[in-house]
Amino acid sequence: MPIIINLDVMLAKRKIRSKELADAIGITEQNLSILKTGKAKAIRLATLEAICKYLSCQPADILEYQEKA
Amino acid sequence: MDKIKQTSHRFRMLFQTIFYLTPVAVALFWLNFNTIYSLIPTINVSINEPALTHALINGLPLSIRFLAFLVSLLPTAVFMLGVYYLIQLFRLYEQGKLFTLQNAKYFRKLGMTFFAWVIIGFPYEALVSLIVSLHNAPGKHLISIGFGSPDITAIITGFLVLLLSWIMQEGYKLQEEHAYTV
Repeated sequence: MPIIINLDVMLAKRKIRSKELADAIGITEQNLSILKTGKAKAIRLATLEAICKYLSCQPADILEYQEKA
Repeated sequence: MDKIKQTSHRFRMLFQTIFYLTPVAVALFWLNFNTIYSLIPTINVSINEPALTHALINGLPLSIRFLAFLVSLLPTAVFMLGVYYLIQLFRLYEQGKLFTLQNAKYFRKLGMTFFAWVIIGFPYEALVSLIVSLHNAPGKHLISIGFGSPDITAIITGFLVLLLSWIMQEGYKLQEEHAYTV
């Protein structure tokens, strides 16, 4: 998929664990794992807003577009 | 869900029984073909097929009946294939898998079986009518080819089952998208 989710990078920068983020934004760890591993087919704006708010970052810090080779 | 699994298990067993009994039933039919005629007045079956009527009246030798049995294996195989797909479908329901891609695949194959049934009917009818009339006097041999309402019903049913399969596939895609929306 051309949209890459760099959540792991941001979590490492902020020194926050996945479980903590999942609990904070109200989604399950499994759903967060789907996001981190690139299996997600869509992300709700409310979820993106909650992640950016908790990690104090911009959507562009988490989402990246890479053209397929 | 338990009720679905239990019911599916019963239906799977039923279809498995039908699957194994079908070739036996076809063999028994041709083996007892000559005897069946004696039952016709009691069961009040009307037969419009001239070659078959003649065969029923005069009886058929074992060699002819064996040939007819071999030819009967054509539609029997198609029927058994359809029953096999039903067995697989109910096996999935038994495992609690109701709306997977595999279910849609088996529905699609079942739909195609209806078309195969109609297609195989043409050579089957021609061959069996010829074989059954082989024993008749010269000039009384017959080849019958027909297309009737049972064939139309089978085609319509096939299309409906294919449509169901397509809807299930689309439903699965929607379900997957929902499952992977965070």
